[in-house]
Amino acid sequence: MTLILQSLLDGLIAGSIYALFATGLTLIYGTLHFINFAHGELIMAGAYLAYLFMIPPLSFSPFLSAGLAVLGIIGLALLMDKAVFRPLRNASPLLLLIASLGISLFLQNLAQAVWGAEIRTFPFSLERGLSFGPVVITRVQITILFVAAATILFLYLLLKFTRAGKAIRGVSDNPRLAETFGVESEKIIRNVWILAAALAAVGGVLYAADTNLEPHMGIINLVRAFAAVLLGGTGNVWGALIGGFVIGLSENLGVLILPLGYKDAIAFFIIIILLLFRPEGILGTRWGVR
Amino acid sequence: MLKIEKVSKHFGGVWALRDCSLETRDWPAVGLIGPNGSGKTTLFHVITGFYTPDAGHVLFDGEAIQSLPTHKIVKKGIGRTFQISRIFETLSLMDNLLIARKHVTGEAVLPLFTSWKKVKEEEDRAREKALSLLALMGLEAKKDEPAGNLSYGQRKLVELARTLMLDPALILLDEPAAGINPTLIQKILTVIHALKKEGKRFLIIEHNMDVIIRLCDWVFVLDAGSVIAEGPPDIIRNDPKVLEAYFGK
Amino acid sequence: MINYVLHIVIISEIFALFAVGLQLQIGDTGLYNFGHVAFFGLGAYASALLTVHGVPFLVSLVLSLGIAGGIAWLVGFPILRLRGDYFGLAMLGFAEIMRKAFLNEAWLTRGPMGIPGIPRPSFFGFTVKGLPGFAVLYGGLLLLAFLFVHHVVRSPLGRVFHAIRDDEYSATAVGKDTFRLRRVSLVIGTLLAALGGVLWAHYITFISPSDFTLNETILVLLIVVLGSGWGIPGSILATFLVIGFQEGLRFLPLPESFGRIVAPVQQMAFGLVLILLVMRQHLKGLGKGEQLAED
Ligand SMILES: Nc1ncnc2c1ncn2[C@@H]1O[C@H](COP(=O)(O)OP(=O)(O)OP(=O)(O)O)[C@@H](O)[C@H]1O
Ligand SMILES: [Mg+2]
Repeated sequence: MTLILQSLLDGLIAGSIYALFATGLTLIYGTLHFINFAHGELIMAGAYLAYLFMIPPLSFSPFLSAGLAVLGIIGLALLMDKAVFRPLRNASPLLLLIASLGISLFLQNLAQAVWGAEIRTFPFSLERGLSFGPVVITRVQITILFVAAATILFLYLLLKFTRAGKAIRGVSDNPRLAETFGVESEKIIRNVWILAAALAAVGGVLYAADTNLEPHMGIINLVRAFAAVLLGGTGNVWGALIGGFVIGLSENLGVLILPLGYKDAIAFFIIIILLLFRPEGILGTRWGVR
Repeated sequence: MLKIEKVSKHFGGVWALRDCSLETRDWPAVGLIGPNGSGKTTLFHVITGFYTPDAGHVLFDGEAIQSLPTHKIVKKGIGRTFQISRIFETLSLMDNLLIARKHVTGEAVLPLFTSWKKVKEEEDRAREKALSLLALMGLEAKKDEPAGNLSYGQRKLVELARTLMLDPALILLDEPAAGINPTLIQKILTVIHALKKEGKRFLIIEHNMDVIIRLCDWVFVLDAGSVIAEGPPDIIRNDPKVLEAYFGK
Repeated sequence: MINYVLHIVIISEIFALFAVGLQLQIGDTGLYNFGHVAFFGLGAYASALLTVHGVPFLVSLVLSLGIAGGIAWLVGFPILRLRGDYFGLAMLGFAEIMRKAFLNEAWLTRGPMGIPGIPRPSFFGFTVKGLPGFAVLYGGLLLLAFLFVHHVVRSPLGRVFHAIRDDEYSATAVGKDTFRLRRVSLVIGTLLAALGGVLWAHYITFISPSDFTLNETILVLLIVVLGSGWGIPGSILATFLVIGFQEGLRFLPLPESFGRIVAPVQQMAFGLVLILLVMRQHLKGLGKGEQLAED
């Protein structure tokens, strides 16, 4: 029983982070219609950038470091778009996917060349956990939950009440609108990259705070995010948000029945099952004939 | 020959077909008209198994085919073209036609190595047939060019020739005359007339009433997914219900 | 020196088999299989385990191909219902699950410790030992595979693969059972990958789950994209180029401190090349065949 409660709590924390990854990825998918494999590397780079600011010689506070990392990753995402994705705007989704695989490989190995392959952790002092009966939560985890919730609230307000936010939702809810928006659409795409990158960076920092950093951490988180995107229905921001929590919970509850080594495979199982058994929502529109 | 019984098909909240019924009886060429979005193309997709209907039956020579996969329906003798021509762009015209054969020994791995001679004979026979069809369309000079180079009208001809390679008993044409010049329309009309004489049956979607009148012996009118009228073409064009469907009251 | 060259040739021959399989799937049939490495790994693991337990090499070779091919055939049932990037991603998922299985089913695979001491290929009382022997044997097998695939691609079967790549709808509309045909392509490509995997295991003599990661998938994808437009010979040539570059760098007399970053820098270069190739392809208007959704 305790085990289940603890797993639920861990799943909730992980899920709140995955929700940030997933909403960003689904925004990109909704507007540009391809699976951005390099989204995982935006997450990874966000974590490493924050780490860079936190350690000596800079030794900034965690919050300042995270803020600077977010700005840096927004820059990185805009650069990626300008250099690679914009010239490929009308290419088939497969070419875009392969190009993003190339970016992913490049950034992963850049991180490895600079920081080495070893696992690192943020230089926080190991704070003692607070216990509620038998369930334990650390200060860091409480902070994670707060930051994630605040980010989600911010995203909600942005999409709901600002003009730019409404335009983004318009495009991602209905691909046809992209044509209607015409010249506006490049501006919308830029805003989407900014938003997706910020979400990835915040999520990456939180993820690293909860676990650790290593150059290849992007890929598994991309997979989780993609599973969440499919769960929510592609392009659906709030669906992806809920999807993120579902993935976090199923991973942490799943290991109660599966061997621990298969934890990272759970998101893949979910992806395959979703792809196969949601033919209408996912396939129906993709393979429409005329 | 072809009988549609109360077929319905919906997409989300839109009913593309609603209790649609029609029968081609013994008419050699049957027209299918109706305003944009009335469900004509969807009906073709249902007949050829691209869509499974939500309700109703499709009978071909008395046999229910609505839940068969497309390739089986095609082998039973129904061929079709698409509203926007779909051809194999990187393949040559010749290869586009050679694809369209019913039973090809060389399309499995083992026979490629064990019955190479048979594969070769089939190829030669098919090549001859394809050549004569390309000649019929006036495209034999381009037989080795990639089909992607063709103009809009020529694509329609290749698609038609490709369908004819299969010797279908019933041919479904989705707007064969749309968007092409009068000379080419004339050519297509001549070909279809000749085929009608050979005993082929047609079901033709067309907005051009002139073409319908010159080709079809009977016409069904579709509106909002249901058949609202039927009759001989010159009468149907003046039917008040049809005029209303097209132009409103 | 000559040994280095032979080593590079042998590795290239192995990877060429792997790449030709993927070229048949992606280039000829339009099946963007991002999980090809799973079958390379399956071939390697199957044959390693069988021969370590005393099964003769030739028998093990046939059994391993059968196992990998059979699994591809089964996996095809659900996954071939998908197309385009979704197919690719589901296969990628399958490959990652396979890797986790290699890692976690330690009772069979020894997990992360891998399988050492895989015997050298031997048949009819003859054992392959020196590098020249490997180069000749593997080269011969590559040639056979090449002739086989070449024959298939130029046959009516290859033509119908190309038709499916161009427009699967049209192919069904002229009576093709595209599900069966795509599965044939998947299985043939898999057999080639598995053959590559078997040969890899018996040459390197030690395998572990880290040999079969997404990196290998991207490497072989890079090879196929690089060779695209020149068919099967193109991917073989591209393999020798890419593997030559990769393995060649390892033998440069680099200082120790620099050695640590050689591998990542090399992978970065591969990433860049892949991006540039895709952009060039787009400019040339290639890769259009896969656009199924149309309106
Ligand atoms: N795959 C699909 N998804 C959603 N709606 C569809 C789909 N296919 C058709 N529809 C809708 O079904 C209705 C009928 O479409 P259909 O293409 O059959 O019309 P049509 O009679 O062929 O029109 P046109 O003369 O313009 O070709 C339309 O409202 C269309 O928007
Ligand atoms: Mg239509």
